[in-house]
Amino acid sequence: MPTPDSSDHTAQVQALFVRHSAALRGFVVSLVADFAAVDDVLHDTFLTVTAKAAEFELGTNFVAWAKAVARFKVLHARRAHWREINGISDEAIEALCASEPEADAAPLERQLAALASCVEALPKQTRRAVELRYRQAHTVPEAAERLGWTQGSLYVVLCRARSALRECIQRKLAEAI
Amino acid sequence: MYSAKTGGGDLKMHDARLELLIHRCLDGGLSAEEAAELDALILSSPDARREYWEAASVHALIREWGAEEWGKGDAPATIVPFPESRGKMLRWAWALAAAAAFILFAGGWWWHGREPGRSDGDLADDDTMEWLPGEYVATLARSAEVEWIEPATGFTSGMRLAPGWLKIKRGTVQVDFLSGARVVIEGPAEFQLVGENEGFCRFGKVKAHVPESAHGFKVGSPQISLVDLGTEFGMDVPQGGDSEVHVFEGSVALTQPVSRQLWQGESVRVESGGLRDIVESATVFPDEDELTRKADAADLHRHAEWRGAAIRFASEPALIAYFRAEAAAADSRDLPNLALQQREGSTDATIVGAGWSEGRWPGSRALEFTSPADRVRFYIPGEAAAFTLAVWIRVDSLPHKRCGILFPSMPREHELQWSMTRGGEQFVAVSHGGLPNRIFDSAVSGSAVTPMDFGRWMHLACTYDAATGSVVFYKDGRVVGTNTLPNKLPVTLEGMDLGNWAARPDQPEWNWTRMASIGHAVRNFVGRLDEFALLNRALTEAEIQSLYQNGELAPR
Repeated sequence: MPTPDSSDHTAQVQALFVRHSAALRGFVVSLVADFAAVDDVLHDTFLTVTAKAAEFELGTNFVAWAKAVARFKVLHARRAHWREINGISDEAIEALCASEPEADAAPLERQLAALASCVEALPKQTRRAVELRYRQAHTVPEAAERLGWTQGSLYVVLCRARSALRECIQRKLAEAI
Repeated sequence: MYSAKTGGGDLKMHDARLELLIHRCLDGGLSAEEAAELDALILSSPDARREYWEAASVHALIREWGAEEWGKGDAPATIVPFPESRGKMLRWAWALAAAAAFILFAGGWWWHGREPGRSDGDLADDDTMEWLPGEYVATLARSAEVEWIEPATGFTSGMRLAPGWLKIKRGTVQVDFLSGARVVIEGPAEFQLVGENEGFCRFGKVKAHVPESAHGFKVGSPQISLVDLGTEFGMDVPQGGDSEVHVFEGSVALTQPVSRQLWQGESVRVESGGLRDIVESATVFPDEDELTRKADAADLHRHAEWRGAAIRFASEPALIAYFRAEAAAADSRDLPNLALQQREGSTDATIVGAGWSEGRWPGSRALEFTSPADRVRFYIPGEAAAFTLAVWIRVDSLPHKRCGILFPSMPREHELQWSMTRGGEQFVAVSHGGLPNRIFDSAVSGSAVTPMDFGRWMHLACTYDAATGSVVFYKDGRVVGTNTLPNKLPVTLEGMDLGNWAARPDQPEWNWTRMASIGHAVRNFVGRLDEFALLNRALTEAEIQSLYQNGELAPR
C-alpha cells in the first residue's frame, strides 16, 4: 500500500500529465501516423508515468520526463504492432527526439483559434480531406476511398493543405501581435 | 515554431523531396525505399530534423483541432442497410419466419409468468416509474481521492443526489445543485443537501460558485448561515473550532450569528458568538480547476486500467461476443467482435441508425440510441445452455413498457429477450413450446434502474444456467434479483439486436404480434451503450463483481 505521502505525490504527477496532455499527445502524433494507436501509446505512457511517479521530482521539467517515457512507448508499440507498416527506423526516431525544438511560445488556444479560421478558408474539397483525416481520424486509404480519390492525390492534397495552414497560422498569429 | 527556410537552389530541390517524404511519413504512407531515404536524411542532416518537427508540429496541431471538433459530437447518424455479406443468412431467416407467421395464425401467444406475487408474468400497463421532480436536488459532478463515509458505497460522477448527507473522510467532491450553484467540498466534511438551492455544512471546507440563476442560494452551518447574492465564496467550518467566511467575488448576506452583508474581499470569523473581521485567512479553499485536473487524472487512470482489463477479458474462453464502442474505427458503422474464442460463423456488429457520442470516460466513445430505428445487429451461431449478458449503459429514460437491451432479430424458438421495464426492472424471457404455441418463461429483477440513475453510467448483468433454470440479475456488481425459469431450456442465439426489438407488425413475418395483441411493439432503448459482453456460461457473483470493478468509474 502506498503511504498517504506517496499517493499524494502520484496524484500531483497525474495532474501534471493531464495539464500537459496536449503537448504529450502532439509529441506522439508527430511520431505515430495512426491516430487510434496514439491513444494506446498515451494510455500506456500514463500508466507508466503513474507507476514511476516516485522517480519524478516535482519542480523539474515534467514534459521532458514524460516525453522520455512516451518515446519509449512509441518504440515499443512500433515493434509490437506495426512491423508491417513502413516507417522511419528506431535510430531516426531517437535522432528526432534528441533534436526536438523548444515548444512554440504562442499558447495552444491561440494557435487552435488561428487554425480553426484557417481551416474555414480552405477550398471546399481540401477542407473535406482535412476533416476526414484529422477530425474523423481516418487513415489515408480510408479517407481516399470516401472521397473517391486515389491515395496519391490525397497525399498531395494533404501535404499542400498542411503547408497552406502553416503559413496561414503564422500570418494570423503575427497579425494578432 | 516556424523558422524561415534558408539556402540556395540546390537545397530547395532537396527540400521539395524532403518535404514530400516527411508528409508521407506523417500520413503513414512511406514505401520501404522512401522510408530508407528519409531515414538517411534525418540521420545525416540537422536541417532535415528541423524540417520534420516543423511539419509535424502543424500536423499535431491540426489533429488537436480535429479531436476537439470531433468531441463536439455532431457525428452524423445515418441508417445503413444490412451488409451484403450477411444476405444469405438473412434470406434464410426470412423464409423461416414467414413459415412461422403462418403457423402462428392457428396458434396462440401468451406470457408465462413466474414472478412471485403476480398472477401474470407480464407487467401491468400502469406499472410505470413515478417521476417526482422533487426527488433529486443535485448531481455529483466530479470527485477526487474521496474516502466515503456516507453513503458507504460512495457516489460516482453523474449520479443524481436526493436530499441527504454527504459524509467524506478525505478527498474533494463537486456538487452541482439543480439551481445552478456549484459547491466544491473538501474532506473531512459532512454536508447536507437540503433542497435544490440550499445546503448545510456541519463541518468541512466549502467553496461555492453561484451564478445569477441561483441567487438566493443558502448555506447553513452550526455557527454561520448565509444567503448568497451572486458570488463566489468560501466557508471553513472546522470541527470544534471557529467558522470563517470569505467572499471572493460579489456579496453574501449573513443571517446568523448576526445579519450583515459581506462584500468582495471581506473575511469574517465567529468568535465568542460574535463576528470578527479578519484581514486575510490562511485557509486554502478547495479549487474547482484543481479538482477537475485530479478527477481527469483519476478517470484517465481508470480508463487505461480498463483498457488493459478489456484486452485480458477478450481471451476469456467462455466469451463469444464482446463489443466495445471504443474499438470501432472512427465514424465506422461496424463494431468488431473482440472475443478471441468467438464461434465460427460469428459476425461483427453492424450499427444501424445509432450515432456516436461520449462514453464512460472523457474523450471515450459510446453509441447513442435515440430513435425507434436505432439498433446494433450481430449474429452468433448456435445455442447456449448457460449465459452471461453484461453491458455498460447510460439509461436516459425508460419510455416504453419494455426497453430492449438484447432481442432476437427474428422470432425463433428458444429465443432470448433481455430488456428493462418501464418500472426499471430487468426482464429476461425465453420462448418455448414451439412456434404454434409460443410461450415465454420469464424472470424479473428487483428495481435495477431508478430515475436517480438516469444519465449516469451503470453496469447491468444477468446470468442464466439451464441446468438449474436459475437467473441472477446484477446492477453495478451487486445482485438485484434472482429467479428461476421452470423449463430449464437452452437459448438460441443467432441474429440479435442490441438496443431494440426488430418487430415490424406491418410485415407478414410479424403478424403474430398483432394476433397476440402485443400492444408494445416499440421497445427501443433510449440512452448510450459502450460495452457489451455475451458469455456461454453463468459467471459467479464474484466474477460479475470483478467485471464491474474493471470498468468502474470511481477509483478504488
